[in-house]
Amino acid sequence: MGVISIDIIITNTGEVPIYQQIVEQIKAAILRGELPPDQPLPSIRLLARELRISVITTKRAYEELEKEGLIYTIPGKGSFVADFDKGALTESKTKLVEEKLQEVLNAAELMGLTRTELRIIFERVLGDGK
Amino acid sequence: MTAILELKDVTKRYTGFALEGVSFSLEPGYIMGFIGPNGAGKTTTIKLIMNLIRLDAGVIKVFGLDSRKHEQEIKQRIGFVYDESHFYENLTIAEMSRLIAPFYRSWDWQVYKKYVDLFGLPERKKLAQFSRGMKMKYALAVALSHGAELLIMDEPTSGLDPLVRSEFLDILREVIQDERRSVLLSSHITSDLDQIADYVTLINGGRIIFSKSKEELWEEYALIKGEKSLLDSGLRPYVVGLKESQFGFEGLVINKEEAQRIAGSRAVFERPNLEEIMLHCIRGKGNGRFGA
Amino acid sequence: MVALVLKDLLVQKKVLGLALLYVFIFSFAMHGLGEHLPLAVISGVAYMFVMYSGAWDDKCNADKLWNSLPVPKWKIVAAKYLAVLIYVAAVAALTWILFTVQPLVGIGDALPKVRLDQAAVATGIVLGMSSFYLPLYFALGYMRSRIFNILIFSGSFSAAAVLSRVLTQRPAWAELIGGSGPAVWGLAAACVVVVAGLSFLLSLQLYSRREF
Repeated sequence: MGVISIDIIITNTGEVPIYQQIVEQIKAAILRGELPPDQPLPSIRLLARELRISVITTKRAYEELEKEGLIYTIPGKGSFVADFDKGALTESKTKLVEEKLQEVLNAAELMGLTRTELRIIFERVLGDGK
Repeated sequence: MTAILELKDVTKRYTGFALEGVSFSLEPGYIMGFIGPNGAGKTTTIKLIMNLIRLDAGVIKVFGLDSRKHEQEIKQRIGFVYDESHFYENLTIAEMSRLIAPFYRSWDWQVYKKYVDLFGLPERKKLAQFSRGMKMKYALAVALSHGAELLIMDEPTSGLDPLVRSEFLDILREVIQDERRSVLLSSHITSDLDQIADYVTLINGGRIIFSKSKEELWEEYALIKGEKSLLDSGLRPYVVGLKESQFGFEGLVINKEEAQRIAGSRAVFERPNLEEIMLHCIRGKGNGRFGA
Repeated sequence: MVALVLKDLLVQKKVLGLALLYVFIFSFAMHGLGEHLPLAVISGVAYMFVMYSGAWDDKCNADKLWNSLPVPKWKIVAAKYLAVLIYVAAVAALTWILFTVQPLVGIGDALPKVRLDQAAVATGIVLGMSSFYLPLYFALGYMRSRIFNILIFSGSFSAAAVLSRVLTQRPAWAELIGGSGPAVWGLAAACVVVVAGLSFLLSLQLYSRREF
């Protein structure tokens, strides 16, 4: 069974820590179903080399993913995508969207927008999506 | 886990310059970047590790062994690359390697040949005719040909063009895939270390300013730019290398969390690269506190 | 350690290649010495190689290399002493060849035969001079120890002159040395070995204290 190939693109500029970017991208791939359960992930060293970053960063990313229950690690063998139930999967997806929306809400409050103004903007964005 | 390299209160005194209380350690499987301005003590520290000069005080342990008592055993397992070539210029690399090989228990001619071919080194040319970059590659080939667990490099890429430096980093990335190996790399070209280092130790004026992982650095340190009024509302002690201008101030904070709490959205925070960290830490005096 | 001795030879290979030429030049310059010519030639040329063996080490800062490799200092020092013997042997052989070939070719005056005892005495002389030179070399490096060579040379020749004068004035001593073959040789060899041994220990001490 070969190692699955996924695209991970990180950026050095910006505020999001690199390990966080990796976590989010792998998490998204798992939640989209691109990475089936028990699929081996690249080793932390290989990932570090390919992304040209420190192995401590990739290690931290994998530790985060493991904490969230998305991957598991076997010492000496590597890390693999975890097999978790669909219910939890949906829950995670919703949770992710909720978190993002909360961030938007916070940003809007900071800028002084009211809830009504926010709703209008939201409807407009949803409309564009069709 | 035993550190592969450990320095405790290392002291070396010359007239006009001294290393004082230098302490840091490196765990196996990582690359440590050793940075600092010229004359800060990087080469002196490396010479002490290699026992080329004598300690005035302190302890250095390599592979858990005392560097003075187990010198030969340690050197069997170390590969070194210095900034100058110390090989005989009037010999070819074939002759030079034949002189060196017998002293290493674990010398492997096949591995050596692999690197010589990979680096494209001419076996029958005298070393005097090698370019600086090629001499460094030869030193690296030798350092990698006897199963060394610790690589010690003192400014190996200074004076080399960006292409060669990039090749060097690629080779190092390949080398470090083997997690039994560790690297101590001193360089004033911090952009190289931005990419490759796992840990960073900054030395200045013979003293260690900090020794942290890059993750820790990015977590705790940040470039800050903001309104001058912020300085007087409790932010000043947290800023190192402060520069005030007509339009505001900029500097480095070493406790990002605290600084963000105080400044909120009135200041801009950016992830610093190693050069910026080094400049601010060295420039800064009196502002900001450095933990042990 | 063989590698270390080899190092000295390999590094000097260009100069060694000219050894024959040096023997020729020395022979020409000192041919007034008559029967003692081979002794002087072998001693002179061999000692020259002893001195120059440090030049490349200094030039390339090779001390930093050897002290970073897993090589104990005593081996580095011992190799230089061992090399002395090799230089003498090589030069003696070359001198013998030259002096044997010369009459066949017929250039110049007849040269004295090279005797084994002369080679042995040359070994003693060169080892003796090196015993004074090498500690200085290990303490100061090649560039700074060169100055002392003038002193060592003139010192050796003066000592030789004084010795021969003493011997002519004390015939009893001369008899002692001239006669009773093996005992005297043994004593002389022992003296040289002791001096060389002390010199080695001194060199090792001095070299161990150096910083690179």
